[in-house]
Amino acid sequence: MKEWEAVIGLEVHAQLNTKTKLFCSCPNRFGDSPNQNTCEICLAHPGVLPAPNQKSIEKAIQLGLATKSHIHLLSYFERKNYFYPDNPKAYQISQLKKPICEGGKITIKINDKKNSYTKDIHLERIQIEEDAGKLIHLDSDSNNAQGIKKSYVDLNRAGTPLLEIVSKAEMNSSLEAIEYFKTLRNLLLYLEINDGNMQEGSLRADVNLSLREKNSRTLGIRTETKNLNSFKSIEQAIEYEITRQSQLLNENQAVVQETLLFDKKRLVTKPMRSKEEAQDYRYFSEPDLMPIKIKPSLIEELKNNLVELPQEKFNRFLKEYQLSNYDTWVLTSDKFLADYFERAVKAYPEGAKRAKKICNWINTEILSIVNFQQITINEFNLDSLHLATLIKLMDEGTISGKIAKTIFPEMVAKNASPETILKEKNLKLVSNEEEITAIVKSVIEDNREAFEKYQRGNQKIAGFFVGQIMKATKGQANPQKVNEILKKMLDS
Amino acid sequence: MKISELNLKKFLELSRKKEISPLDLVENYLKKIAEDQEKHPDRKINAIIYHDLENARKQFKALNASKAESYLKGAPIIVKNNFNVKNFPTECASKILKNYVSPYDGTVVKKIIDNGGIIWGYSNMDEFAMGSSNETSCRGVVRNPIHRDYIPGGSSGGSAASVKANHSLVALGSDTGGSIRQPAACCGIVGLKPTYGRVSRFGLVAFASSFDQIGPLTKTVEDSAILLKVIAGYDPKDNTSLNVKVDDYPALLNQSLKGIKIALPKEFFTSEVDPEVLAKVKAVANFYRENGAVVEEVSLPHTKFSIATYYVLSTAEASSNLARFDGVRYGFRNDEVSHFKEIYLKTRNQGFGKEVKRRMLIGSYVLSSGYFDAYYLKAQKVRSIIKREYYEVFKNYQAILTPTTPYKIFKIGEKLKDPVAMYLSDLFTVSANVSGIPGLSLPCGIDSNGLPISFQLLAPPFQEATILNLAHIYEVNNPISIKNEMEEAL
Repeated sequence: MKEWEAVIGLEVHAQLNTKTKLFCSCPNRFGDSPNQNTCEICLAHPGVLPAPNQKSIEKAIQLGLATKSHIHLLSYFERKNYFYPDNPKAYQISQLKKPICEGGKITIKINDKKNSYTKDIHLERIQIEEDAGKLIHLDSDSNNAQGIKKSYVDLNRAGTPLLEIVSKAEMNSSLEAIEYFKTLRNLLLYLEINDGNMQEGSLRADVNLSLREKNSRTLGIRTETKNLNSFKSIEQAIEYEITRQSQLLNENQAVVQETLLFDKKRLVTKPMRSKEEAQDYRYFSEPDLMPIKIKPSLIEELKNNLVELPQEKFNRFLKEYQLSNYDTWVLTSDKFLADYFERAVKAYPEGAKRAKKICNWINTEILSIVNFQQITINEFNLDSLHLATLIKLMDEGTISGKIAKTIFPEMVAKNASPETILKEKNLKLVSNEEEITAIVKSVIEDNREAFEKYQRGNQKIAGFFVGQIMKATKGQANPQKVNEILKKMLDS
Repeated sequence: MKISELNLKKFLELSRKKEISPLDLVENYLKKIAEDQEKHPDRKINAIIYHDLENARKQFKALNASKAESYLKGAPIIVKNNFNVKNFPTECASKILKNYVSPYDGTVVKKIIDNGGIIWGYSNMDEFAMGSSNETSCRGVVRNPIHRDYIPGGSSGGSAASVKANHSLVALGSDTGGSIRQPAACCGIVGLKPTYGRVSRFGLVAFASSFDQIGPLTKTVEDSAILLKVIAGYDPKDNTSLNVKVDDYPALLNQSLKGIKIALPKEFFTSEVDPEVLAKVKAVANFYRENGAVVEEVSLPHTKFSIATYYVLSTAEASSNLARFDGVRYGFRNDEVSHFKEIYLKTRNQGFGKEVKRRMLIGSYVLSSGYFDAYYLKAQKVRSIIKREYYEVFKNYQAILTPTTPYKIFKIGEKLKDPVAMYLSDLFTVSANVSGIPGLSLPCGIDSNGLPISFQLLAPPFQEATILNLAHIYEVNNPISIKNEMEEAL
């Protein structure tokens, strides 16, 4: 059987988080009641004209700068014509021949158990366009006795600004595609031009995929899977398409060039429309809008005010906090995680020196909760200040690591400071020598056999005693003191 | 004063002295419209298709309440049915917009109201401004007040006829290929299409976005100057409007003709042009010569491609602009359907008239893949050549003089079955839209049928003042009286 290699390109639609829509002054806001954020312009009443939102253009330039794209000083809006109820003008204002940015690249880092490498994924283009509205289909079972299927149109989203970021087909696995998508999402978050919220559709991807024989340069026939809005579904859709296409090819059948939709329940792709019935969008330059002219001074200004980008943050973290490459990468590949970390570091005067410890807590304790709950760090309940205090208390010897771990889940649940939880549970660290000596004594007496083994030279058994002592004190004994006293008594 | 002798300038004088009431005047117009309908139930002028006296009253009251002296002093103004006026049925004389009530005022309407004008009704028009004879309106044909057998021109036929018939004081129209100048010529009045970008298009229902422009239809040149001063100017709501200083047009009339150079493009004076038209327009050239202007022949070789260029590009834009009329959100809808796609098919099939459908089909065709380069792209290239040719001529001349239409005015029904013959009515007017320059039409004689002959003046972008001045001087020195049919009958 032949060995196939996937060739994957991504078309990502990212909603820009402008205050208003792309061509009118309606709020660009998710979650309002249907058709609340509409006006005669985005409802395409007769006689209205689009007035472009300058902020959208600036945000597009920012992404262009961050991806080292070529920014065109002159680009055009075009009309893409098609009829659909969610498309009020019956054309979408988009860009075709000359988008605002071309070229550019996004560098991805693959870091899993098997692989560790970086790869540049080049960009075809970044273009500005408007989003469509939403259709809500209610089937016969919902609130209507006649069994009539009804569809409703919500045009709140119609006319909101989107960036379409088109990569070259340079990815070869779902792993790379996901990493590209994550890296791009992170970049958008760093630039603060998109909220990264995939459930609300702020970020969605179309995947085009073809297979070619390994080591061959001839491309196969590709399919395009539309509208994937989670990491999981991108991965599943790619894996499914690779399997489906390789099966076809292995059986000497042809892959049909078509547009697919991914069924999240059954985990399969289904044809939406094939090339034969492809629409003719009759693109032409938008006569209601002048060309987008960008002054070089604006690009310069945006360049000078560009935020710290992931790679820059990575370099700075390495230098400032002496963290490992891997830890730094984990932190900086999520802007909000990096922010969380830095807030904790800054909240504790000794933070910079204890950065490694703070980082460990984030990368283990916190990320395990975040991953388990499938939430983002922004949705994580615990204020980073409380994490800083927890580290501080451990450093001062007020609590042990064990107590810290014990109270942590409750801190998270209540977003409470460690002091509050310690007080509630009446927990504190026992450092009193007499108290500890008494406990050590009784533990040694209860375990004579082990004590004799120690005296015969089995030094390792000391660990057993520490465990027993901590158990007896419910982890509240100061571990340093325990070690000191235990050693003295064992050796006496 | 007889209502037929009243114009905007005179109205402003009378209104300033409180010797005329705008509301009485509107009522007078309404009376005349009603009389006409009564006398000619089957052959009425049919220029005004909607009026709102109550609204006029409200606007007048608000005007009186404000102490500031307004520029338009309550002048009653009619706008074409493709202007968005809040709470008015903006139907574009099309069934597909039946009962559509505009939720907003367009920029020009707002400017008129802010300057003390009163918008009191809508004039009839060709459906979606597509036509040169006002025969494609779903509200019925408009008849020429000079002779009811004849067309009033189009597409702003209702605006032109209402002014000529004394059914309105002044009117605004829109000009995409000649739709102000040609009906003004047919009805023997003044029509001005400003420079593309001079007047905001926000609130003008689009036919062809890169050609459309709003302008006045008036009895005198001075009236057009007054209205242009009010409606011109940059509008942030119209990205294609330009931020160029607005001249004080009425103050720039009566400038000397000495040293002015006027070009006569030979392509507009060929043997194909009706000899009566040629003779009259050549006489206009002589008038300017005699009064100190230099008048010389030039050539604009590519203007002969204007009509073809125009019908490729304007229909392409129209096919897209009119796609929003789908019955989903407003207007007429046929929803006796089994699938939502049928709403589009049935609504649009029943809602649009024949001429509009024809143009949308042409437009969709020239934009479709495989034909785009041969038609749309080629036409874009020709458009820039035509534009460049005009700009070349304007390096040496301040204005261009041509006939407004190549032929004499024709009868209702005469060209309805021959769309190409109909399209040629715009032969001399379209190139101004193709190149974006301003154009004005003014009567200069009467043909053997008793109908007017008009000439057209073109100027470089934003030089409306030049052609208003030229036209004004001609008009003052060459008074002609083109009587209305009904005036004679009265």
